[in-house]
Amino acid sequence: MSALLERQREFADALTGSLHAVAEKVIGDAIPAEGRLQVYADRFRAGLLEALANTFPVTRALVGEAFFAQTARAFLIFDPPRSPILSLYGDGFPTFLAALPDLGGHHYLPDIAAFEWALNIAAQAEDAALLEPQDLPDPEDTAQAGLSLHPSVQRLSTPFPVSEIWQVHQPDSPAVDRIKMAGSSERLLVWRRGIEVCWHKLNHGEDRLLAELAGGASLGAAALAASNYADFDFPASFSWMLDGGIFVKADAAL
Amino acid sequence: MTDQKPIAFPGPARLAPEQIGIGLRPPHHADLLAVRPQIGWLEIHAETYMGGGAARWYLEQVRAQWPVAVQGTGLGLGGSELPEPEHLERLARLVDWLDPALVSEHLAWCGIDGRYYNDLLPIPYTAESLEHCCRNVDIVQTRLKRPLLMANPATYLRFRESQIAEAEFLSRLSTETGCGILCDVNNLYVSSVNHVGRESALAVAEAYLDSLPAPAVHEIRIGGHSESEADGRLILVDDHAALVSEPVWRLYASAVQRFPHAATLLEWDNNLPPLSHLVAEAEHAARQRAAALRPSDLPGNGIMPDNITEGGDERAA
Repeated sequence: MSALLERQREFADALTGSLHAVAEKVIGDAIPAEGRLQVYADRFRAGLLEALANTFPVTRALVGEAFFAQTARAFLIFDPPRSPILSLYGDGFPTFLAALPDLGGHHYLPDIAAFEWALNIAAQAEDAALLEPQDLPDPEDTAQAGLSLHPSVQRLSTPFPVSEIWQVHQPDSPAVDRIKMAGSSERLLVWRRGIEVCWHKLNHGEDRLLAELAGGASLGAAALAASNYADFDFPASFSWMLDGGIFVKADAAL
Repeated sequence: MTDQKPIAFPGPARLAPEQIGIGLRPPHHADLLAVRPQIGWLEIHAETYMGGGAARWYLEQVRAQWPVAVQGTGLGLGGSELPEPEHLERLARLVDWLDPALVSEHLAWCGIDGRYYNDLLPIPYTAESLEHCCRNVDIVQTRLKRPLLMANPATYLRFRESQIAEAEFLSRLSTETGCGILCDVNNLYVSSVNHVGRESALAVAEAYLDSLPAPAVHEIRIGGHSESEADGRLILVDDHAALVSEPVWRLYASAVQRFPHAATLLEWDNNLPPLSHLVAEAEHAARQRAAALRPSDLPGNGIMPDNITEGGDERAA
């Protein structure tokens, strides 16, 4: 193995665990090698903790700063970034939260985190040219056509009233006495229109329509599958989706 | 020093050296477009603008009004691995679209074995690491079809096995690959204090500036650092969270005298103040630069540029 590669691996160990292996390769003087390495370890932890706090602000508010920091530090040692793009750090955090033995009664916390992750991804997904109504072919051909979803589009399904909980933790949100938890499952759509991140509660039929389209079904086949749900109103749903910038021109990724 | 390969640097000609640039950070996006302050140019972190959405939208407005330079922090060219192909493609797409005045990266590594550590991490300066770094810079320059500037990092430690002085390493990297050098005088001061102590730091840093190949230095970077402690001893941390310190202004004056053709960038990342504070600090930098280049203030006459009060070794004549 190259000496440089070996040194990098030892250094990575120093950031996430033991300083020992690389410390003896580092010059110690008035400041011992361990003290110097600790500067890097502290920067690594502080930087990623801040990144997670920025991406998951409501999750943090729900559990409090101390619990969040403790959990985030455990996560960042367990699962350091897989991308050099810092804003893409944290995709595993909702799952990590779900595996914790005690969420202090916040059973919905992983789903809140998943929603915040979806908002984060929607904010920075690739741009794409939107499908305009005049781009649609004749109705018969439209039914045969597949439709491409905007790169920012994500769907979440949760047994909890995630969007309501999230909403009351927004800065300008009116005070809410209590949120009904039972029977408040949500199917959420998150996407970006222009530079604005949007979300919308889907009914069962809309959720199925988008799932089918994402899987490559034609619009006709997707609408047929969605029409199994009594709450589905194709013209109304398709209209707001088209206006809302859910669909993009074929091969429109810029 | 051997002769440099002839390289075309179309970028720097687009940045007038007397016009100071500032680092563009997303919290300043809206203010920048609303106020349109008098600034020479802007430098972006490549990794902040690799997706779409608001960041890209604002960048599109900014590039229409100011020259823009790109600073990459994610390729880790000092490491043993090849530049990660997907990340290099993302950078290439950004650079192709933006056509920036300059593109820079760092003499550092940031990830290994598919994991990234969100920092510019130090390498030992050896024949082996120089070979890796030359190879990596070659790959990136070939893909981007333009020369890179390679920046000196702020470091908190040195490796026992290092055999080449950092300035010499950068100089040889430049000779071998045709890359330019980005002289970050804040990093230089931080590293110097951290390795030789505050008393000797300025003299060591001045010697470092002397040993850089002047024609290869195309950008000078200034920024703030903070004082911290490691095992009870002073250590400077390059956090870009404060005004430029007096010793760094002093090194800046020296750097400007040695590299008068180089563009200047002011960076601020953490504890970000209002945009107007950065603009004021950039104006201050422009005055410092002009003062450093007044004939009466050039080295050898014992006169210091204004605003330099902190003690330390006199500049070498």
